[in-house]
Amino acid sequence: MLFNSIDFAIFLPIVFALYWFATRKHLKLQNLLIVASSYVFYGWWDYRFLALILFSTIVDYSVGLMLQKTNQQSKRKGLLWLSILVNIGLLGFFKYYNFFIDNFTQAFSFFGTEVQPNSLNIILPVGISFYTFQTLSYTIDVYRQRLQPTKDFIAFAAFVSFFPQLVAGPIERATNLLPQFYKKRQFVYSQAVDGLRQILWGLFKKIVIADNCAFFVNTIFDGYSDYSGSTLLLGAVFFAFQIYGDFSGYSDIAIGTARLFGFKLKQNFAFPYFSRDIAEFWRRWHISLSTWFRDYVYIPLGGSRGTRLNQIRNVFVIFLVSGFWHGANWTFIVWGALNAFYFLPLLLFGKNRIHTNIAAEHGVLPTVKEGMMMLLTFLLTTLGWIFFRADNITMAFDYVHRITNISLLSIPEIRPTFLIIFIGLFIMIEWFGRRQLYAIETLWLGYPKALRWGIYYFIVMIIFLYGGKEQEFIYFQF
Amino acid sequence: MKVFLLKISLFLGFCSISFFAIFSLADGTTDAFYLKFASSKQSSLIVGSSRAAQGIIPQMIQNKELDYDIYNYAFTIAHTPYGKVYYESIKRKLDVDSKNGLFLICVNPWTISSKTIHSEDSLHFRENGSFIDKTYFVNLNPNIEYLVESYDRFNIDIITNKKRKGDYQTFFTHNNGWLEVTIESDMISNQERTLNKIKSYKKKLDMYSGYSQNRMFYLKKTIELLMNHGDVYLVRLPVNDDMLYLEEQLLPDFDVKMEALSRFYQIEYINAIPFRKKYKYTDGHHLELSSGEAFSNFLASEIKNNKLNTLY
Repeated sequence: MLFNSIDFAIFLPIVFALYWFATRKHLKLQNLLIVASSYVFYGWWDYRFLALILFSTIVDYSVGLMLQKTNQQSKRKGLLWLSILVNIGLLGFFKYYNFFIDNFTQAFSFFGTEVQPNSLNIILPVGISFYTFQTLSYTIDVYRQRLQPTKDFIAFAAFVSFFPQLVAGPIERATNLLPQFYKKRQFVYSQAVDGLRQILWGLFKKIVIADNCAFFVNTIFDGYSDYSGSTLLLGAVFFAFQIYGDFSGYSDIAIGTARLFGFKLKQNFAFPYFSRDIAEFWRRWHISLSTWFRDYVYIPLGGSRGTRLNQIRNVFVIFLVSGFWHGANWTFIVWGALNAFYFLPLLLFGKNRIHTNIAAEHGVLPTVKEGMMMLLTFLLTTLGWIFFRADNITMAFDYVHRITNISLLSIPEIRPTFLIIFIGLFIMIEWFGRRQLYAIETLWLGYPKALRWGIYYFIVMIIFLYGGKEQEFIYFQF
Repeated sequence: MKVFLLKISLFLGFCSISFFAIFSLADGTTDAFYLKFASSKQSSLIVGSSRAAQGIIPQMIQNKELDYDIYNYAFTIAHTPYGKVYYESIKRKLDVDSKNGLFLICVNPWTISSKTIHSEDSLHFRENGSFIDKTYFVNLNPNIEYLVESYDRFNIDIITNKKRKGDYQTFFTHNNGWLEVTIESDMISNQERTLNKIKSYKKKLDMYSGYSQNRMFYLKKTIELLMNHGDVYLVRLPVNDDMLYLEEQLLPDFDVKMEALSRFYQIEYINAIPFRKKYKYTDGHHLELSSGEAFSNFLASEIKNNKLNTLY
């Protein structure tokens, strides 16, 4: 079920009503309702893959309980590896099997040996990368004794399958989300209104910004050899806004929906395009994934400690793994490597943590220096996005090559005025709301009620009148 | 909770009214198809592809003292070649209580051929999943189902297209379903369009796998369905020589097939191909406005004559 679909518009009020009116007095029943509705939500795509979620849930729940029962280190390690192997095994099979087979075949052919690969026609289960990471975090935290394993299977199943964030995050940590299933939730008016406001902003990002950008991005990328450098650059910039609008929009809707049910999820995007360097960008982009890799991969590897060589290795590992997490294609790996190259100088010169505050924190506008740094960071990121969006490496390099010629100075052949105006408006609102958890969290709260409602109505009407055609969320494929 | 529900209901109610008000403005300027799903069920129908959508003017048929309130329910070759999808849509549009209707089933080789690799691969027919397939309610006004599910433009265009009518807007669907298309009619533009169209159809010819028994089966079912509700005519609209040449390559025995159908069902096959030189085309196969009028007149006369012959 897509958040921006009629199905969800019907599904949400039904679940909301059952949750607050029919099951409010019974915590277990309320959690059970969450599990049931989450399975319906997920099964709407393909009910066959519900078995995978259930399997993952049972394995990690059991591993958690068994970890509690034993103090023997080797046994504990064995249990941890069991969970890792099951979860990564599922992910590896469904997401990476054909990638490895194809690459092995090519490698063997290169050395003159022809092999007949057994490629499988595998459908990638939606959101598998998200929920496997979420459930893995539980086992690892239990193993590290940072979390008590739960004995409440329903609460655990609800944690793994919680529908607002099941298919595209934020990837929640068990330490944050699981305890919320143990406590009775109270309906708080201000939280619910806040949730709706965040949903509205998420829908605007997704439907007006991302979906409209998608149309032009597809046109430009699909026929990139026919366009001038300036059009290709514009296509890449549109993709930067598409992926941001799409993914952060999804996160906003997810967090807002969770708020309606009395849950607090973590912020996943913190205005990343206002970053002044790549290190800051990665602290603000897909925070739940970055911190996951930081805590479970980067730090165990030694992080920024140790020899220079180790530091470099760790940076590359984290970015390459992150790239590979996004998809079984070399384009994602190159995208990860490119970001590692961007990041490395900052780490090596000890400048990776100089921008930990918000740009122009106490002012209205950034300084010229800040503005230039933001622009440079945005352009570097956009260059990376070309690899992320391209069908293959050759296309990505060709695309970049075609940007860098004299036609870069020409007027783009495609220049949708309405979209450029919307993006301008969007940047402005995001800028003024950059101190909040999401742009319109408190932006108009000081205004008279009628005006504030008028603004919300205006946003709804913009979504209705200028909404691009329904597109799947990009991150569903990851 | 009560305050929350009250406020959210008020807000959403107000938004819904606004959406409905905008949808209510949808009409023949909205797009080339919308109005066909926003009119009532019909007792007389013109069915077929874009040639019929543009080339047969219901008003002209009524002008010939034929007492039929006929409705043009033809779309495009991409959406309405004969098949299960179009058959179901026609069934939904048909007033099942009607008995003495008039039904013009427009045919040409493309309408009973398939663009799939295997001509009988109906699971992959190009119209599957299109608006013809998705629009279940074909007589709603405003047709929210169509506007939400299938309208592929911005909703703001519902408003702006009204202002563009006759200006930048090249199409207009009339209340009787006829699609009026206004395009430049000078000779150079016409030649250019025709050249491009023939070129694109030459390419299309390579992509078509040819005659489809499945499509023929549904053409027959369509005839049988409509015969229960009135007089049925098979109609082949005229095209220029180049297009005819391509169609003869696609299905050399097309007319033989249609004549066989005509004999089997004892319905008239009105083939305008022999008179093709009398008409002008915007692109080689769509009739120009005046030719559309002339052809509709011709068609009405043929039907009238046929009726008179049947009577006496």
